[in-house]
Amino acid sequence: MSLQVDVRLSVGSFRLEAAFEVPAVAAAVLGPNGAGKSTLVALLAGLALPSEGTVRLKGELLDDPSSGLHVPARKRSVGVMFQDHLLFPALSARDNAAFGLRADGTSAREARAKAEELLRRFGLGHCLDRKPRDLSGGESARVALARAIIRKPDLLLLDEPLAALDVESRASARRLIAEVLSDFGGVALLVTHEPVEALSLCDRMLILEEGRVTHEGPPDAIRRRPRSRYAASLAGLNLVKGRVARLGDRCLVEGAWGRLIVADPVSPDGSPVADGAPVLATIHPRGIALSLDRPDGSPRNVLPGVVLSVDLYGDRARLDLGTSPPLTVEIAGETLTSLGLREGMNVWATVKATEIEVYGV
Amino acid sequence: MNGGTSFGRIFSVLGLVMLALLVLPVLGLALRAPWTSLAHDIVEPSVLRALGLSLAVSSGAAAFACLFGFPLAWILARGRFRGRHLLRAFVLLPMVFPPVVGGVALFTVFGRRGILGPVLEGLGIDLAFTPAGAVLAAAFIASPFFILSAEAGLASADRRLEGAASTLGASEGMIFRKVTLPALWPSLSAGLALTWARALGEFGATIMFAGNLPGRTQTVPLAVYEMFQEGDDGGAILLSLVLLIVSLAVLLGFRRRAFGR
Amino acid sequence: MDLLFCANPPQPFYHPAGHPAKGGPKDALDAWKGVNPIAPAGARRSFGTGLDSVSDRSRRPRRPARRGGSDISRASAVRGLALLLSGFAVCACGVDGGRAEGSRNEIDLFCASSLREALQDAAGRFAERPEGPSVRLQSAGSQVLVTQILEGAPADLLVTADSVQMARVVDAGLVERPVPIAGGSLVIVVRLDLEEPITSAEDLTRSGLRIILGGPSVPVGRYARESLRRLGLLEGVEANVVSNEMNVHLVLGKILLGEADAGIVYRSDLTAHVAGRVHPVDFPEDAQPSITYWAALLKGAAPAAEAFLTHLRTPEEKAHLMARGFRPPRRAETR
Repeated sequence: MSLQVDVRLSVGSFRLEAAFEVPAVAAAVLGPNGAGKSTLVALLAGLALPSEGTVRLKGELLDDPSSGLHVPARKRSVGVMFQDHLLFPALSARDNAAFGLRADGTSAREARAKAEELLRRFGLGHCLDRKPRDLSGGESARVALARAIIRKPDLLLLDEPLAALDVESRASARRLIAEVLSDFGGVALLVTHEPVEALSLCDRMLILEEGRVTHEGPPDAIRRRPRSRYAASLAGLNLVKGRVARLGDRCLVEGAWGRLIVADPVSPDGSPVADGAPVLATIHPRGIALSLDRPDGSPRNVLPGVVLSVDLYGDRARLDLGTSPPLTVEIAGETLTSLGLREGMNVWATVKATEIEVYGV
Repeated sequence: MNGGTSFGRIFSVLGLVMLALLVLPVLGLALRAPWTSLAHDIVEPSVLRALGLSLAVSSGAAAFACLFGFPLAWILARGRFRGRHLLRAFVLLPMVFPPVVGGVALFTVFGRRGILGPVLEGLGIDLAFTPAGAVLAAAFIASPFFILSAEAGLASADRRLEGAASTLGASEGMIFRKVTLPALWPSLSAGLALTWARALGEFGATIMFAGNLPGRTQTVPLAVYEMFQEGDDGGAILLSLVLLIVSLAVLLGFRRRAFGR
Repeated sequence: MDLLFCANPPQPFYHPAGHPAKGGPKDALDAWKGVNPIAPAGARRSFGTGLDSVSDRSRRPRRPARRGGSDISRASAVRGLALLLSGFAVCACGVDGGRAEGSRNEIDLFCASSLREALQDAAGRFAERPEGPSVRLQSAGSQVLVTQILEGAPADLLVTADSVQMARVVDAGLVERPVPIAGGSLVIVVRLDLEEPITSAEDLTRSGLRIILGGPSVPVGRYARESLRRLGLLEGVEANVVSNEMNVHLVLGKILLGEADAGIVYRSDLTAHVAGRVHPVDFPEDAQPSITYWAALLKGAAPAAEAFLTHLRTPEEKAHLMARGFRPPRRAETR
């Protein structure tokens, strides 16, 4: 059972081009705002049509504009938990949850009984007869989830399910979703912009940026080798793009932002990377040293810059530097105070060649 | 007057003036009404017939507005075609028509010499000078209230709910019954109440197109006018008040059921 | 009054405020003049001193101002409402059915619909005189005009289409002695393209016809029913009546529109404008009711009004009326 997507959709000036395959696991779709995540959800749910391409679920074709095929939403085996929950205001929590079963023709009694059972499992036994306007955010999220899964769909879409919740309800809701996902037998896509949610709930990650899938795979692989600035920021890494250049016995990565001395990069098969080949390079924030004066010594990367911002996280501090390339540095709080670093100050950042991970694009 | 901000003071004076305009006429009627003859007058057959006819005609007009007006409101709210604004202007027309002129206009279409005259005659349908004609006249004048109210409700409805319902497998009919309609109910019921009330008070188009025959087409407004002309202003006032009370009762009961409060 | 051929018994004395008159016309007149028997007791006390009673209220000890309550205290709201209500009561008591003083050179003529064009012409001729008083003419069904006058509408001269309506203002003591100024006759009008022609009053009882008459309280409706009763046709025709119209013009109008098959109007309504567009059918002469148009000066009317009334009764004006299809008034008792 898998979901195979290869579509192109233009909405106004926005263009979505997504090609990916997800087996019967829980996969997260991460991306910044405006990346097209909700458009993707609408498309997979059958509420939007692609201009070109195909969507296949369980081997069955759901969308194929070239042959005019579009399976409408109500005929798809899909359950959607919407960002604003979108519970039906005129129906009670129980009737909301039972809605999908009633649409299938189940008798009212049976549908309501099943809905009640599910809602009790979700801890909502006390508000079965309440209308959505009388439910708290957390309760309404659970009802929305129950409503989405009650028909046991083949594809489950969760569109920013925790976005509308406050911090306390979020934790318990996340636990519930984790439970549901582990029991769920079909393909589940969890759309979110919170990397924490993605990492804690899903085994695979898709990153959607400006309408394109830029990463697909297990979170670790993405974290070690991000291919885009957004992915790099998710991973908390500094990322630059450039080309390999060899100067004497030194190996460099060069770009418009300048150059960095790196350890000689090696392709996956062991051969050295050719000159001029495009590469990505990442630097971990903790692999950067800061000093007030220009350091001298062995060949290292020494970059001057201005402190743009300082953020404290407990006993550590993150600084954004206006170096070229721009860098984010993480240092101990004591170092911050001992150096007396503040916004607007000039500092020198030092990066050892061995701290820079280089890999092919 | 003591206390309060100047805004509050100005508003309460102005509001009081409006309230006076609304309340005093009813009070005036109540003061002049010959309440002692109420019991005797109200059971007079012509009065009962006029009341019954009025209630039937306005309910018929409201039902007509609902049945044929709702689809039109749907088209106005959800259609995407040029000339939508022109269509809406036509919907507003009966509100702008002087009702008597509306009655003449109805003659030119549904009368025996009207555009549809031969068709109706062929089908054996009589509209002018009949109770059905009274319903048509009232419907013509009062429908715009319902249509505009329904259109506003439809336009402001959250369409995403309908999308959510279809992902759950609901057919179009089920979506309409269980999602669209319940959300629409407040504006529909308000429109319906307004239409019914306007139809109840309709005079000009009715007297022109349906005529004035006690028991058949003489609704309460016509009866009141006739009573007043004859000099029986006591009876006219009484009948007016009875109609007022009956319609208040209906409207209050209706809105209570509609809002479950 | 000419009561010989009144179809319905004359209306009882006019009932102001819907109360049966206690006795004769005087009580009715008193009631009309504004000593309203059902005015609220408090209002009567405040008649002419309405404002005083309000200011008395304001001299009562005030309730202590509430601390931080609603912006508008209840006391002031109640006071405001009381002010409005007592003002209203003052007006209710003080109403006098009098007229505003019009300019001396204008006459307010209230005239039955069927005489409208005729009197407009007469007024035109009257206005050509040296003093040139102008006549402001209002026309409606006689019953409407009388009701308006009884409610205090300003009029100098009233012309009604029957004696029943005139009796109402006489009983209210509002007019000088009425005089007859013209007579009329009825005619049946039939729409032009009727398949089976109507040639007599009997034909009106044919089933399936759509007949319209004036309402029973409208003079032309009363007269029509009287004639039909005399011919023994009333029930048969009533079965075909689809509408009781409020005035004779509506009857004629709907015949002209072709929506009704036949109706009964005054012969004087068959103007040149209308003549070719309907088919007239005569009533037998002995079935014609005695139709008399009465004119009366309202008490306190301008002298010019009296001059106009005299003008209307001159032989020249009478000739104009005859030319329009009116008849000389039947010799009758006047009250």
